[in-house]
Amino acid sequence: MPKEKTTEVTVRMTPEEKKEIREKFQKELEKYEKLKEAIETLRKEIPEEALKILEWIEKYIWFTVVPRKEEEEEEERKEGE
Amino acid sequence: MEPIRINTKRLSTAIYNAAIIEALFGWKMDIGISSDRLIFLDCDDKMRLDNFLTFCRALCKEYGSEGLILETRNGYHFILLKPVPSAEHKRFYRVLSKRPEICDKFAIDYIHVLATVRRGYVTLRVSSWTLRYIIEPSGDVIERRVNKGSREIY
Repeated sequence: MPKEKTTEVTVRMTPEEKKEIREKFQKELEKYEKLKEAIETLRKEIPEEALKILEWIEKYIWFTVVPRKEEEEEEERKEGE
Repeated sequence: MEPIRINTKRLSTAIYNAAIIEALFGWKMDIGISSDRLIFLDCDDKMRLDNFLTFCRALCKEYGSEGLILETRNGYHFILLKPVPSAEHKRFYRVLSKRPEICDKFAIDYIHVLATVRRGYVTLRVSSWTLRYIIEPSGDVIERRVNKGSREIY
């Protein structure tokens, strides 16, 4: 198998460019951290007991992601009026 | 406008979706279960559990099935553990939606019933469930007390 030819490229960045990239990376990292945190919180909100109950009825259900109660109730009430 | 709702068969997908929405948009989301085969009822008044239980017991007797009463932050949920055909499921909620006085008498959340009729399926939020009572097909109610075993109350 022939050896793959590679070319080394050195990218020179100005301090401003470096700062911009670092900030972008930091923002992405924050999003990821927030995501991890949200997953943990949601998992903790579903008790073990609920998971057991869901196992009994899993053939007949599906899962729905819904807005927090206060917001949805408000929507329903507005529609009813 | 219909609020955002995402339906998925897997719990992990639901959690992931809810987390993404929360992380990206800052909207707080809950995980719910939905069905067009099982009867779920919602009671938002903790003070009127007796009224709610009366209706749930009657349903269990009528369908000859066990039912579960789950305590939530604001009230109670009822799950009838017997799948019914989709058409019967729809009929049940349609009839109930035309009888607001029944919902009122038995502390059933009428808005939840109306939303079920509109969507064609019923949804309950899963967060902070505690199994409080098991209703037997005979209508007998067994209270489930954490770490203290169970006792019959009706």
